[in-house]
Amino acid sequence: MSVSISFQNIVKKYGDNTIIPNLSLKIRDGEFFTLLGPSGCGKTTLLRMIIGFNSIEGGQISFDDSVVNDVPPSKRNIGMVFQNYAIFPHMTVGENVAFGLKNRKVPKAEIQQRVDEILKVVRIDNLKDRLPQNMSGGQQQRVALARAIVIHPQVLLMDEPLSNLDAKLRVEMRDAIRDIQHRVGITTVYVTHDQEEALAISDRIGVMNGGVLQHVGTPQNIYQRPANIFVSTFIGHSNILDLHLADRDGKRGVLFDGGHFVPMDNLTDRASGNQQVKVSIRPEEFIVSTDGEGLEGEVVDSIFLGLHTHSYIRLLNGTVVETVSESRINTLLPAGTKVRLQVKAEKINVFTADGNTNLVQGVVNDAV
Amino acid sequence: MLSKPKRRLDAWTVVTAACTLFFLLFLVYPISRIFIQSVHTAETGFTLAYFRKFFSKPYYTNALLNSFKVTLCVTVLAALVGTPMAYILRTVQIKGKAVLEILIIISMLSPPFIGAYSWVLLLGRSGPITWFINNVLHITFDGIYGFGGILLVFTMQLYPLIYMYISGALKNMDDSLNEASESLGCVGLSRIFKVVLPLILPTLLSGCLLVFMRALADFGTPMLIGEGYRVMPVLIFNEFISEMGGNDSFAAALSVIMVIITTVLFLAQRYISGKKSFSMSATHPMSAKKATGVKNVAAHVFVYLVVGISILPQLTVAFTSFKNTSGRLFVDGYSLNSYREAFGKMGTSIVNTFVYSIAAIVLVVILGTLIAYITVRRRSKVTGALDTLTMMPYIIPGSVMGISLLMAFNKQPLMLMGTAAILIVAYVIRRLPYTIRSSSAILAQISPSVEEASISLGASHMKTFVRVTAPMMAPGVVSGAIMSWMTIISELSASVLLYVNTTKTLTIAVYTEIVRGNYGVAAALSVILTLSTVVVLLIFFRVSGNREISM
Ligand SMILES: Nc1ncnc2c1ncn2[C@@H]1O[C@H](COP(=O)(O)OP(=O)(O)OP(=O)(O)O)[C@@H](O)[C@H]1O
Ligand SMILES: [Mg+2]
Repeated sequence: MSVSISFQNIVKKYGDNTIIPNLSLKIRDGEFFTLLGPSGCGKTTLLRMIIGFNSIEGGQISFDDSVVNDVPPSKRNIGMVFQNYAIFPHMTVGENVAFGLKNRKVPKAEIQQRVDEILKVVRIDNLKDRLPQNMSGGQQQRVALARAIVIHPQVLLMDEPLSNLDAKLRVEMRDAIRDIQHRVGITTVYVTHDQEEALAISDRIGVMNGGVLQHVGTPQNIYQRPANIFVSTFIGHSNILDLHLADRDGKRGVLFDGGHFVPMDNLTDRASGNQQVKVSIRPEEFIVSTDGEGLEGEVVDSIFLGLHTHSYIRLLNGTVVETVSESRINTLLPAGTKVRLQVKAEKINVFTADGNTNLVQGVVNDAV
Repeated sequence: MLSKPKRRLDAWTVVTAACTLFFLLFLVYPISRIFIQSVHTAETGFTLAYFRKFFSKPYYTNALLNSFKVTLCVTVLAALVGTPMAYILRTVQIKGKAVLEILIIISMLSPPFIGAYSWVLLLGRSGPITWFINNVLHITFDGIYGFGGILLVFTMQLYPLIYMYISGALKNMDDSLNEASESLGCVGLSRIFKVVLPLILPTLLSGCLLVFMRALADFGTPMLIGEGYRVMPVLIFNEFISEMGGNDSFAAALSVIMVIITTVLFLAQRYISGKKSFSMSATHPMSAKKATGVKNVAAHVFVYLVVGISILPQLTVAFTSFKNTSGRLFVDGYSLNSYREAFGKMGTSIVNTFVYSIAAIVLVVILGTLIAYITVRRRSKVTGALDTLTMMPYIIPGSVMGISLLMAFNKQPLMLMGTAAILIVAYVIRRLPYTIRSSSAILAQISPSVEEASISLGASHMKTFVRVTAPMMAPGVVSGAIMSWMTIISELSASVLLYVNTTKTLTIAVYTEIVRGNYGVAAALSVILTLSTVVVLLIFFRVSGNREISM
């Protein structure tokens, strides 16, 4: 039995220090929702407000339709997985997992059965009678997950649960968490500052900065149609160019230095005249060629990374942009090579000069 | 709609209130009574007459000077003995190290006045060593009394404190620091002075402070071996206890002077250590290496000599306890008379010792853990104040504590004089600062998220504490408690003021028997005392599988 979580005009202060000024959000029933943002932006703070470890200075949090502001954490029926796992070191794996069930006065036989079942789900049933000391990070992580899920919580919270694991295990556990969450079907709020992890695991992502939700949407939408320049640079890599809009042959588009014009047919109505804009182009949205049409440039450096090759190219006005393309056999463009850059017009994003608004159609931002 | 963050009244609020109340009643109230009494009398109101009296007569000020002189010398000597002991035992392989360590702990744990009494037996006017010096070496020696005697007893009694502190600090020092300094060309003594000493200096300072406080406050040793050498605790005791001419208010003034001195020292040590403390943790602790040649011999001789001298009093006492007696006098031969009499006369004091010390230690552990918890996890102005308050007994000499409790609880409705309760309270209050400190340190190592995990799984705050936090703290707290237990059973300074005949403990019994000249019984009783300590210590080592005990 999971629930939706609504935040209405949430305020969080530590003393006079406002961490979250005013936040509203609805997390859907059964959804895997990820909070993503730079260090110190308030992700943990928000998560701890959901479970009740942090006080709420304004607004209200509801599960479905009932306000939980004043419900103590032990009564909220929330499973939480901590960054450092927080396994009870003096209890065996089985006792750790059974702890929450005992507190709920579940009958002994049922406790046994549910513990065994969940340990199978997270694939550590062979460790049931072991003490957590000397267990690997991945195993402890599974204990923590099992312990949180076994109580059939309404909501599952995870604060950077994978940050203590090495890269390979991180991917493995990430998939395991995703898989288990789908099977159990529980509303999950996940905190990370690893964007790849967020993109891989989430139904929706909320990108935060300075206590404010910048963009709430699907991984795809956030990556492809970021709501503002912060989101566009925080998720993935983007080249940002200060350019102007222009009209040519009855078409609106972006005018690059040197007179190269890229027509766009997906600009919103707010993009008018020849206003100044910030154009965000991801490295893979350039097509590099040594001849033909396009922006003029000169190769500064090329880095071969196996599947892809990254090239840094200096444009006419001196700006250096990063491009990426599939590696070709035996041809690494040497520094100094004159090249032409084409832009995949349907993919790039154009923001107002202040960077706050995307002028391209297709942004789906549930934060506003 | 704004929801105000509400401060819930939970179990911890109650605990905080209860602990604060406990300290207000048994510490703040008695101590303030002493402060008031020192400047106030019923007849004249506010007066500084007692302080004037103290500072105007060399008879009194000399006692203060003497106290300082002897305490300073003891502190320096204890550091000079304890530090090399710790360093050698950590870095050089010494034969029989395990036994030596136990002997060091035993010599530390027996009440200092027993040491004083045995040294009188050995080096007193009629001691065998004195006889030897006079009649064989033909040197005129009048026995070790006064300044020299006190110095000897305190140094041998208190260097183990420095030893334990430094040994702990060295354990946390990573060997790579030594290796690094060696690779930079700094070896041998120069390494010790340039790298090791600076790193352990803060620890050495806090060890020295503890030695200073103990030496300054100890009453039994100067009483037994000091003869004419007057020091403050003896002065206070005599002023307070003596039937004629004694004066409570003057005793109170003396106590206040002592407390002011210890407070200043405490703050100074804190200030210095705060500026120079390093946090160390060793992944590769130093290991004891086999030494060769002169170095090896010198190390062994030094360690054995020190341990030998410090354990000598215990051996003397054990020997004395088996001497044949007739009444109070020793006669030729050996017998168990002393033990027979000890068990016959002092049966209740043995029972009392165990009952009171166990009651006290249970209270200390419970209160100590709870207070550590609220001061670490529930920070607020109130718990902050409580934290400071709980440190106060650390700087209050035992005799002052005893007097203040007597003054505060000698009439209805707070009549505790003559009860076991007042002894237990004294033990608890005197020992709590140590337990609170060590419990806080243990708690600081435990991530709060473990408790949050428990709460998120539906456990209440109290249940979380009982089922999760307390069990995680237990191993550390228990090892501290063993130590506390052993210090409690040898406590004299406060209890000698608070006991009545029915609440006599072993330590007090030993003391009173010595004072009465019943040396055989006194010796038998102190052997019983030492044996109980050793048995508990061994059980503890066996159970915990751990040879480190902490202060
Ligand atoms: N107990 C506290 N008292 C005062 N300020 C706090 C407290 N906890 C957090 N903060 C502040 O609130 C802000 C948000 O902290 P939070 O822990 O939520 O960040 P985060 O997004 O989780 O960062 P990270 O990715 O580093 O974990 C930070 O500026 C932090 O300093
Ligand atoms: Mg965080």
